[in-house]
Amino acid sequence: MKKPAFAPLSASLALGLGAFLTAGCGGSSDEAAPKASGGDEVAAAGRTADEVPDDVKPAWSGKPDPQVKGGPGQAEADVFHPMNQPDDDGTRPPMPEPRRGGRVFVHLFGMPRHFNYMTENSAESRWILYEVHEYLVQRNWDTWVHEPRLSTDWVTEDTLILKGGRGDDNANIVYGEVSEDGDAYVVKPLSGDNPLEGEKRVAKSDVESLQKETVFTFNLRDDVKWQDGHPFNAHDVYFAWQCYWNQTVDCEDSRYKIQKIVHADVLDDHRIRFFYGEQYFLALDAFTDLTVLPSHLYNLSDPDNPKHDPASDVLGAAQGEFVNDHENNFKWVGLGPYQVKEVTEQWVIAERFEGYFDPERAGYVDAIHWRHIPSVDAGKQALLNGELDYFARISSDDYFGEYCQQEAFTNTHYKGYTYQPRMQYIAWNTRRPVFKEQAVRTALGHAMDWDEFLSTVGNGLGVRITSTQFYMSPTYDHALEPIAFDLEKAEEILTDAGWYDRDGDGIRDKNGIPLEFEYLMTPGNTASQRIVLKLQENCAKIGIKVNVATRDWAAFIERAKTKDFDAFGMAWVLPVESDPQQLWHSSEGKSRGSNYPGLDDPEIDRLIEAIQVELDEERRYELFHELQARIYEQQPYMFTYNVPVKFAMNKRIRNFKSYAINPGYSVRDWFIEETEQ
Amino acid sequence: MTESQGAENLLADGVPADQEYSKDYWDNVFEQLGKRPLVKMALAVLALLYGSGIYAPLIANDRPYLLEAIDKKEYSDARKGLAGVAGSLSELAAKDEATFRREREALGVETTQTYLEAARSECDGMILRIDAMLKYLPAERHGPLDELAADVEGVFASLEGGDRAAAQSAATGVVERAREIRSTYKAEDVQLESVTSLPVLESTTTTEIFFMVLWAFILGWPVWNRMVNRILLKGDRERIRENRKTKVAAVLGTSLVCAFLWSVLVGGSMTFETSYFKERLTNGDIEAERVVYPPLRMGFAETHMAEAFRPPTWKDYAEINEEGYYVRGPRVPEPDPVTGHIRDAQPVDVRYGEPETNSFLRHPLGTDQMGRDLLVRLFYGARISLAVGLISTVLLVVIGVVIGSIAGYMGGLTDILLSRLIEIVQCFPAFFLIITAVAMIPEKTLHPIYTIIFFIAIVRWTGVARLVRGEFLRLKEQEFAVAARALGLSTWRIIFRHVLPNALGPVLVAAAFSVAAGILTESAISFLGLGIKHPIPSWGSLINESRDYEHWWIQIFPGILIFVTVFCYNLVGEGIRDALDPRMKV
Amino acid sequence: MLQYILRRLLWMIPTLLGISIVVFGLIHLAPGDPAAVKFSGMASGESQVGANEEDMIRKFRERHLLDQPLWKQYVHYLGPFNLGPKGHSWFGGSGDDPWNGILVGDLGNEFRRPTVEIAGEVVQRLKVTVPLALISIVVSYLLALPIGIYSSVRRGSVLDVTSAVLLFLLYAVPTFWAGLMLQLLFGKGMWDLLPVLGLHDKDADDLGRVAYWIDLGKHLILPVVCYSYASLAYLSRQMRVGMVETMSQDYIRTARAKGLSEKVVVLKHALRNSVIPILTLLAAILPILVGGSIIIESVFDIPGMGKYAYEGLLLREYNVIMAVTLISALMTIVGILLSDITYALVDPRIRYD
Repeated sequence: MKKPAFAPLSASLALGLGAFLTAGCGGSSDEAAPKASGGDEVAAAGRTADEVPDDVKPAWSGKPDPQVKGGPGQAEADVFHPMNQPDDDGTRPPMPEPRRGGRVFVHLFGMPRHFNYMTENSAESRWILYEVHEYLVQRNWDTWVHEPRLSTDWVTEDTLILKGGRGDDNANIVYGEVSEDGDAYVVKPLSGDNPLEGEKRVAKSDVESLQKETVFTFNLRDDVKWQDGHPFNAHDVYFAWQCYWNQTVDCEDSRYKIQKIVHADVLDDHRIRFFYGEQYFLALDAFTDLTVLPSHLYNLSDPDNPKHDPASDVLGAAQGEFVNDHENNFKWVGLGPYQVKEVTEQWVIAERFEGYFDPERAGYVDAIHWRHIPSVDAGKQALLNGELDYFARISSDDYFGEYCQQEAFTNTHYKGYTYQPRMQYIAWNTRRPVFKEQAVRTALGHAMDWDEFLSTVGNGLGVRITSTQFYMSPTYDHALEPIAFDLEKAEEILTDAGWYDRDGDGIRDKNGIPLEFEYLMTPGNTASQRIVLKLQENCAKIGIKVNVATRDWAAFIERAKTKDFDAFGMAWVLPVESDPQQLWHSSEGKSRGSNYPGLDDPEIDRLIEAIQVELDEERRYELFHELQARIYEQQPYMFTYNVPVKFAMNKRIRNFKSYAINPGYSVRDWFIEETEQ
Repeated sequence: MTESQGAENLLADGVPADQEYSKDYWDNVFEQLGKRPLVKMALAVLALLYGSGIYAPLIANDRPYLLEAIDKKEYSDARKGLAGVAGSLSELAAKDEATFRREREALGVETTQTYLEAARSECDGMILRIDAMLKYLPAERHGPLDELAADVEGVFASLEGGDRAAAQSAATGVVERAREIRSTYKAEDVQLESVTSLPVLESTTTTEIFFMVLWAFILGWPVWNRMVNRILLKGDRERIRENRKTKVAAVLGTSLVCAFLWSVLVGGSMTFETSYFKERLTNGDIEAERVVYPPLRMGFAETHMAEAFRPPTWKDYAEINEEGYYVRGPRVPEPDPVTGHIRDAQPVDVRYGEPETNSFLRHPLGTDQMGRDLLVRLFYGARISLAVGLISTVLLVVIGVVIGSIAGYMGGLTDILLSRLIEIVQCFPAFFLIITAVAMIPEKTLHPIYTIIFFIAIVRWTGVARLVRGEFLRLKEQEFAVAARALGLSTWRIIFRHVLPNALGPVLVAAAFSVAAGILTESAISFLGLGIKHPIPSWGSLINESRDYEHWWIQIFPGILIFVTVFCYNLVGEGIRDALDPRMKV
Repeated sequence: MLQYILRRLLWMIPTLLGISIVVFGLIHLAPGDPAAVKFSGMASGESQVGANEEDMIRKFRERHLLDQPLWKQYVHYLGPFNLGPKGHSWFGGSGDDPWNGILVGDLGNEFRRPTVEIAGEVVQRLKVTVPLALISIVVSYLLALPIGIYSSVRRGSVLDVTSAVLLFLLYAVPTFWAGLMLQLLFGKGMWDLLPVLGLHDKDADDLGRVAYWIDLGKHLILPVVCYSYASLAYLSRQMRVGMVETMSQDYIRTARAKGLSEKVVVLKHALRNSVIPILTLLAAILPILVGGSIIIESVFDIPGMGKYAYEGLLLREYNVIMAVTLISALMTIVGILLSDITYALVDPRIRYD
C-alpha cells in the first residue's frame, strides 16, 4: 500500500545511512557488530507465526511505527521494485515465476579472515555462512520463530538439579516437563531417551534448583551431506560443541555463550541432547551460534580424518590449534546450498551445491559472488559499472540526491531502505573526572540537535532512540522521551552543578579541572565527522571544549577497548532482542569488556541478571523497560539514532525481501528474471 | 683572494662582466632572475598564496572586525551567575581544609588544587562576572558592584590569613549582596551601554602577527628596498651589498618586535573562544550599534547544516527560493515513489551579516559536507599546505647542508661514513616510509603535521647533502679556501663563512623543487586520509572530503591550488637554475 | 669494476639492516598491534562485542612474541632463530617450521590470515603491478623520445614551445588529483567512456579471449595515463636537454660537415649519445616497478603491491610492511647499482675503483 506522500516534516526524525558509511581508506567503520548477546540475530523471543497473520503484517510505510510489532524490516517481497508497484486500485502485478540459474554480485564491505564463525567472529563471515552453511536451529526471518534446520525437530525439557549440585557426570539431575504439586515437583519425561520411565515425583526438599527449558533433545536429519560428500551426523555437532570447551580454540567471542551449555550427550547418530546449566532467555539462539564443523576434517580423533591421530585429545592444545589454523576455515566445507569455490582478497565465489538436503530453501541463483570493496566511493562506482547487484551502503545524500537519480543508476538499479537493529551512540568515559558527574553527561545530551541532524544529514529518515535495544523490539520502551536540544538548559545544568568559568578562559571548570574532552573518531567516517563538528560547535557555545582526535581503526579500537578515551562515537549492530549483559553489566566495564562508559550500578546489574533468567515474556519486557529507564537516566551514552539501511538492487533480481535481521536479506530468496539473463 | 672573487670564478665562464660595477654572485643571480617575467610572475603568485594563508583571518572570518554593541546574554549570564558563584564561595568558606580534602578524595577526582587555590578560583569567578557586568553598566551604577568586588577580596584575604570565622561572615555578606544585585540589575531595569571590541584582532595570535608583518615586508620589498637603496644607501653598490644582511635582520627584527609588542599589549595567546557573534547578533542577544565584517563573512569551521554540499552559488542548480529550499535539480525535495517519505530538508538560514542566499558571494566555490564555505577553507588550508612544504624544506636543507658540508670539507673517514649514511637513506622507500610514520606515530607523541614535516626532511635531505658535498669537494681546493686555511681560520668558520655561501646556489634550486615535492607529498597523504585531519583543513584533506563526481567543486578547486603552487615552485626552481648557470638555458 | 660491484653488494647488507631496524621501530610506535586488530573485527570493518577477547589477544601475543622486548622480536624476525614457545610464529604463521626468518628468505605470513604466505601474496600482487608499470614506462619512453628529439631539432618552434609548456604544466599536476579528474571526466558521471575502477569487468571470465583483452585494455588506459604523464614530462625534458647538448658537440659538427643528411645526423649520431642518460633513468624506475603506486592503486582500486602495502599499513600487518619496505629498498639499491654500471659501461671515462 502506498502511503500519502506528505508526511509532516517535523515528524520525521531520522538520519542517513551516511552514519554507517565509512569511506575510510582503511575500511574502518564505526559500526559494531553483534555478539552483544546471543548472536547477531536474536528476535523478539517467543512470538509465534500465528500471532502475526499475513494479512495484518505491517504495510510498508517507510517509517518505523513502534506500534507495529514485527518491525519494519519485514517488508513484502520486492516492495521497492519498480515493476512491482501497485496500480491505482492497489493491486500489485503478479510476481514472475521463480526460476533457477544466473549469478548475483553482492557487495562486501569487509573481508572476513575466513568463514569459520567459531573463530572468526565477524558479521561478514556470518552472512556468508548463512548461504553456505546450516545451523541446528535458526529463526525464521519472517516470523522470528525458531525453526529446525539440520534437525527435524527438538524437545525442550526442564531440569531439576538435586541437592549437591549437578555432579561431574551430569548424573545428579532429573529432567522432563516439571510441574509443581504441593511440596513436590512432578517430572514428566518428554524426549525419547529420557532415563525416566514415567512420571516421577521429587520432593522439593531434595531439589537444589529448578531450571526451566534447559534440556534440548534434537532429532537430526539423516539426509544431510557435507559439501565434500561425507554424511553429516550427531558427532559433528558434538565435536563442534567440544571445540568451544577447548581452551586453545580462539572462540572467546562465543565461548561464554556456548559454555552455558554444560553438557551434551550423543544419543545415536542422529540424536543429540544438550543441557543448559541454568535457564536463559536466549537459550535456543545459542544453537545458531554453535558453528557445526565437519568432524571428519577437523577432529584429529576421528578415524575418518586423513590426519587421524589416535593419541589426540579433543580438548588438547594440538586439536585446538588444528581447528584455529585449519585450511578449511578458508576453503569452507559446509552444509548449505552453496559451496565456497574461490576466495581472494577481492571476492568470494560460492556456487550451487547439488547435494543440499532441502529443495525448498536451496535458493534460485546458481552462484553468489561477494565482491569485497572496502571503500564506499569505489563501491558506488562499481555499482554504476554494473559490477554489483546489491549494495547497502548508499548514503542518504546519495539516496535522495543525484547519485540515485542519474540514468546510469536508474537504468539498471532501484533503491530502497529498511530499518535494522542498529544504534549509533556516543560513549562518555565515566571514569574520567569530567564525565564522572551525571550532570555533565545530561548537559551534553542537551547540547546536540539530533532532530536537525536527522533532518539535514538524514533527510528525514531515521528515529531517535533511548536504548540499545532494537527500536522495534518489544523490549524497547517508547514511553521514554529522548532528551531535547536545549543549550540554555545545558548551561543551567552545568552552572547548577558548579561547572562555570572561573579563570576567564571561556571554558567551564570545577575543582581546577577544565570541562574539556577528547572526542575520538575514525577517519573517513562522514557521519561521525558531521556529528563531532556540530557537537564541537555547540559545546563551544556553552563553554565546553571538544578536541577531536582521529585515529585509524586499529588505534581507535585499541583505545576504546583499553578504556583510554574520553568520548567516542560508534554503532552497535544488535540482535532484535539482545542480552544487555555485555553492554551494561559492571563486570564488562573492566579489562576489554564492551561496557565502554564504565557504568557501574548494582541496580542495573541486578536487572540484567534478572532478565537473563526470566523466561516469561511480559515480565521480561517490563524488566527491560525498567533497565532502559535506569540506564537512560544515567546517560552513559549519548543515545543518538537508528537510521535505515539504504540499498541499491539490480532490477533483474526479483523476490528481494528485507528483514530486520542482519544483514537484512537472504540471497536464497532471489531469482533472476528470465528475460534479463 | 677574497671570497667574492672566489665566487666569481664560479660564474666566470661566458658571463661578460658588467663594467658599471663589479657584480658578485647574488647580483648575477638577481639580474638573471629579473630577466625572467615568468619567474617573477610565479614569485608574485606564490607571495599572494602565502599572503592569503597568513591573512586568512582578516580576509575570511565569522567574527566582525569591529563590534560596538551590548551583549545582553553576556551581561545577564554574569548577573545570574553571580549568586551561584557566591554560594559556592561561601560553601567553601564554611569548610575547613580537612573536610575539603576529604570531599575531594571521596569524589575520586584527581586534582592538585589546594584549599586556598580553590577559594582563589571561586573569587576569580566572582570578579570575572562583576567585570563582565561593569563593562556594560554606566558609571553611576558601578557602586554596589565595586563594593561586592571588594567584599570578595575581603573573603579571600581572611581565608588567606587563616581567619575562617571572618571569612564565613564576609562570605554570607557576599551572598546577600550578590542576590540583591541579581534582582536589581536586570538588563531591562538598567540602562546598559554599548562596548566597542575588535573580535578579529583579539583572536589573532602572536605568531600570526609575526608572519603578517613579515609578509608585508616581503610583498613590499620592491618598493621599500628601492627606497632604502636610493635614500639611505645613496645607490652605492658596495654599500647595498654590505647591507643585505642588515636588511634581512631588520625585517626579521621588526616582525619579531611587532609580535612581541602584540603579545604584551593584547595578550597574544589564543584563549579558547567561541564564535557566537553571528548567532547572538541574529537572535538579538547582541544589540549592535555598529558591526564591521571582513570581506568574507564565514568562519572556516562555521557549519551550515542545511547548506551541506551546496554547489557554487553561480551554478543555476544552487538556487534557493525564499522559503530556503532548492528549486532546481536533484536537490528539490520529492517524495519517495514507494514509501511516500518526503525528503526532509531544513530551510537555509541567512545569519547576521551574511550575503543573501543566492548572492554570488555567499559560497562562490560551494560548500562541503557541513555546509562550510569552501573558499574560506581554502584560505585557511593554504596555511597548512604551504607551511608543510616550506618548513620541511628548511629542515631538509639544514640537515643536508650540515651533513654535506661536513662530509665534503672533512673528507677521509668522516666523508666515507657520511657518504654511506647518505646511500643508506637514499634507499629508503621515501613515500611509503612517510606514510608509515604518519600512520604509526601516535598523535600525542607528534602531531601529524610535524610527523609529515620531519619525515619529509629525514627522507629527502640526501639530495641536498650530495650537492653540497660535491660543491665542497670542488670549492675547498680553490684558492680562496686555501687562503682562508692559510690564515688559520677555524674549520667551522671556513665551512660556514667562506665555502658554504658559494655552494648555496644549487641548494636553492633543490630547495625550490623540494618545497613543491613537500606540498605534493602532504596533499597526497592527506588525500589518503592519513595526514592532516579535522577540523584544520589542508588542501589535500579538502579533496578527501568527497570523491563523488556530484561534488566536483570539492575536488577541483583545492586541486587547482595545489597544482598552481607546485607549478610556481617548479618555475622558480627552473628560473634559479637558469639564473645560476645561464649556459644551461635551453 | 667487479670489485666495485662486490663492494656495493656487500654494502647492501648494512643498508637493508638499517632500513629494517628503522621501519621495525617505527611500526611498533603505534598503539594497536596485529593482535588487537585481528580480534577487533577489523576484517569486517565492524567491531565485535567480545567478552573474553583479552585471553585471545594475550595468547596471540604470547604465541607471536608480541609481548617480548623489541630487540628480541627483531632478532627473531631476522631468523633463523627459535625464540618462540612454538617455533617461528612471530611470522604470523603456525610456527611449525622453527627455523624461518628474513635471513633465510622467508617473508613470513599475514597475521590476520595465518594461512597466507606473504611471499605468495607478493607474487600475486606483482603480477598486477609489474605489467602495469612496464606498460606505463614503455608508453612514456615511446612518447618522450620523439617529443624530445623533435623539440631539440626544432628549437623555438611553436610545437616545441607548446609541448614544453604543456609538459611543464603536466609535471606539476598531483597524481591523485589527475586520477580523480580522469575518473570524473571519463566515468559514468560525465562522458561515460571508460571504466574507472579495477582491472576487469565482472563478467570478464565469460568473455572470449579477444574481448577479455579489450576489456582489460580499457581498464588499463586511465591508470597508465596517470602512471606515465609525469615521467613523460620529465623524460622528454631530459631528452631535449641531452639532445641540445649533444648537438652542440664537435663530432656532430663534423658529421654535418661531412655532408650527412640532417636525418642521419640526428637519428644516428646525436640520438645514440643522448639517449643513454635517459636509459639509465630506467634503473631508477625499478623500485616503482615492484613497489607500485599507493596513490594510483588506491584511486583506481587496483589490487597491486601499492595497495597491498597500504592495506598492510592500516591493518598493522607488521610482516607485510616490513616485506614491502625491504623489497622496495632492495630494488632501489639494485637500481642505483645498475645505473652506475650502465654509466660506466657507456662512458669509458667513468671508473669506479
